[in-house]
Amino acid sequence: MNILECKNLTKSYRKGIPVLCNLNLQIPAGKIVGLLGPNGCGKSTLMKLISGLLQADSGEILVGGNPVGEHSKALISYLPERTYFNSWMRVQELMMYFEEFYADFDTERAFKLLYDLGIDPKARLKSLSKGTKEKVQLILVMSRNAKLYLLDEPIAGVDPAAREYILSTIVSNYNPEASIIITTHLITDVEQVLDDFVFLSYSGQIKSAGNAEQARLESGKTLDQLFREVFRC
Amino acid sequence: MLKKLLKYDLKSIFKYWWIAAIVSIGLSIAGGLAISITASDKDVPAFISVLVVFSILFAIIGIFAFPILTYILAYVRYYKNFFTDEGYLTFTLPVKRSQLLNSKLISNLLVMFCSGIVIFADIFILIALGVGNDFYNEVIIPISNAIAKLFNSISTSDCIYLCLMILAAIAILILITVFSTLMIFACITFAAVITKKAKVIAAIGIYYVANWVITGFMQLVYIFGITSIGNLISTMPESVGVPTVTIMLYAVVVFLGLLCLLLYTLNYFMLDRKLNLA
Repeated sequence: MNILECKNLTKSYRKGIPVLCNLNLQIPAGKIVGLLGPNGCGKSTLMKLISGLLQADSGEILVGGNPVGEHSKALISYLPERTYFNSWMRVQELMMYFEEFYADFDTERAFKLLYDLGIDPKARLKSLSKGTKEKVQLILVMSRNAKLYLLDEPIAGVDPAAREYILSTIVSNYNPEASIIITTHLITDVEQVLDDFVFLSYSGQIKSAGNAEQARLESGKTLDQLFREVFRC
Repeated sequence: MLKKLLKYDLKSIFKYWWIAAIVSIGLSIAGGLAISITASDKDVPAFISVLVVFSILFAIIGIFAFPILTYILAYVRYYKNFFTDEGYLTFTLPVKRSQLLNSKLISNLLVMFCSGIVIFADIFILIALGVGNDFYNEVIIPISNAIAKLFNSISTSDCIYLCLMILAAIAILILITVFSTLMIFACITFAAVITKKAKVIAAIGIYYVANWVITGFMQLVYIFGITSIGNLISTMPESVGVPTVTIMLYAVVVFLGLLCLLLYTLNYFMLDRKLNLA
């Protein structure tokens, strides 16, 4: 069963210049998918459309069979590329906030992850560094038992030492029946965890897609090398 | 979900509001005491006189500044929570957009109601402390006498009309508050829909234009409508005039209600169908 279906999805910020053009995409349940492409190819736009932050010009998005709205948002756990906190809150208040709004939020897991990363739950969000805020945000997102995780550049702002922990957190904390879509430019770091990949071209269409392991075996190259070959300037 | 949204909206606004309220009441107490010193006709040192003048001045500034601060707090919350990075969390919550809008509207109205009470308390404290021991005899008794006299002088049917008029006036006051809140919301939302940069400046500009149009419209209504209707009512006998005025007040209530509904729908439409977060 597909957890996500995008049908003929088109989005443009300026008239006549589409970022996504008639995009068709199906993501089955239980997969970790890398959404990869050069800057400005529409990866973040696609994530925002799925999470309901942008309005599509045309086409349809179904999440677990639901169109984008109140029900689809209950199934999606979205990590945007920027931090979205109410700066006046403390970390533990934010945990309570998520607990109240998301029925699938696992508070115990969230506090365990905070402890593992050495983040004080009583700390005020405005006193945290950018990297720590991103870690808190990732903890919040991964502490949900969602059906679809949308992770937009989850490791871009953190130090290399924390990346490994974050990737293992992502892999070990997600519901096996759920799917994860990850966008990143740090392909080498994430390709070990990817089941499938989607290369998105500048025209907002799928350039190539498939099983990550199969692509590596067939081409004898890593995904990072394949990416460089496909999108060579 | 609305209750939860409301809880966090109120928490966010009241976090700063109560400090402003305490400062405002403190200034009123100081101002009231200063007035009582001036009223006592005692000789006081020069620096005390300067202190007295400043206390009264600050008390008056506090009374005017407090509602402005309340307005700013409430609308900053609306803007930040919807149209800055916080919007990434707000608009991905599993709630309806109408619930988000309702929560902002209700929290703003509650904050304004509480601010109204604080302003009333400010004025009461200023007068009560300023007038001192004679407050009861000089203020409370004359006001109660005037109200009693008014109700004694009118017939039972007029009393019913008076109560209906008071109810209509309260409804108009509430609807004007709702209308002005929704208008500012709509200006902020419209600015966020049409531009990605300088949203605040755009919102102020849109509000200025909208306000100019509404003021012009109200002046036209006043010149061509209220003046001529007022002239007509003044020629009517009292038995017809009073019910006519009451009916007209309720017509204003309906008109304002429709305007509020229109603005709410417009705002909801923009948030639900047109908003693209940058």
